[in-house]
Amino acid sequence: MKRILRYLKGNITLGILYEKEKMNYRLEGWTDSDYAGDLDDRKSTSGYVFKLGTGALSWSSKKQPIVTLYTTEAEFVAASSCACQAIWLRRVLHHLGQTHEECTKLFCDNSSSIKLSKNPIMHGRCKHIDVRFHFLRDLTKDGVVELVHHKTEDQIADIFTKPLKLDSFCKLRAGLGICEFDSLDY
Amino acid sequence: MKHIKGKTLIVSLYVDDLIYTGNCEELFEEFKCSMKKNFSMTNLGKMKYFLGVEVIQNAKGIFIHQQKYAKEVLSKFGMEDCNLVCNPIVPGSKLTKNEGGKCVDVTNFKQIIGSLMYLLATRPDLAYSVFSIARFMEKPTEMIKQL
Repeated sequence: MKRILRYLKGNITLGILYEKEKMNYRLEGWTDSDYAGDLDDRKSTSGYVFKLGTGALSWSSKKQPIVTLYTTEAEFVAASSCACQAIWLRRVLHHLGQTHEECTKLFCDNSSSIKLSKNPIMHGRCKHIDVRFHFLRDLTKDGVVELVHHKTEDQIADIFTKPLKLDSFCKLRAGLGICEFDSLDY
Repeated sequence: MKHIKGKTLIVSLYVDDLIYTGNCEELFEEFKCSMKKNFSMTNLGKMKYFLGVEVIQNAKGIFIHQQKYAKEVLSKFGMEDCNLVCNPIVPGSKLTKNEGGKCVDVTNFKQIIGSLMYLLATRPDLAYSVFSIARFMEKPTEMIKQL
């Protein structure tokens, strides 16, 4: 805990920048999960973040409510909670006059969960993934969200699921649109 | 929220603070006049500070931060003169319950977590570390606090 306050002290000027010129009003989501990160009860942590233009708009880091058997399943749980948020954000944006006709891209670094979301196959390892499985598949079919593969190094949702090394932490932090107040020129 | 023929006015209200935005100056004026008629209020101009979040709007874009609030948090918990670190959590570390460890003051622990959580409004980089220690809120031990 003291370390967080120490970190805060060292980086007190940071904030989120929404750049005007790079603003594209396109909603993009990133989803990630660790696997069995909690050594006490073996539940995983899911994390997601949504970006609008250069800045992060909505994010979450949350321990999953259920114990999962496979990494794919853990990623799938994370992706479905990310999809729930995507639906809500699309609705809010619609109210604000920014309707998204096209599906919202959710970037995920786990190719098997992407395949599972698109292809209605059923096999031994995913038989037990029930409600979330169908929920996400339905949304994909209806064109609300689409899971897209993205390489792990630039997966900005990683910052919400595990304690990262300093260099990748800083890189992903910049990816969220977090920067120094001083770097703004007037 | 009001839509008239492509013109939009969005008003956001929190207890006694009010902000508004939109794409039509006429609607702004109309709204301002009607509000002033019914309530006594002051117009503070462009949004700079709302619910502890500081806002800077310029040609480059919009920058939101909570520097002032962060300073208050640090001084409230006596950490103004602490040593600095570059990341909020030790890379690769795993926290466990540590049953039998010495307990610390729960109220103080909760206060710190609560204050840090409010900071997350503009600091997603802290999210993982804050939530990973928030799991120990029920029975915080000395070890978690000193980490």
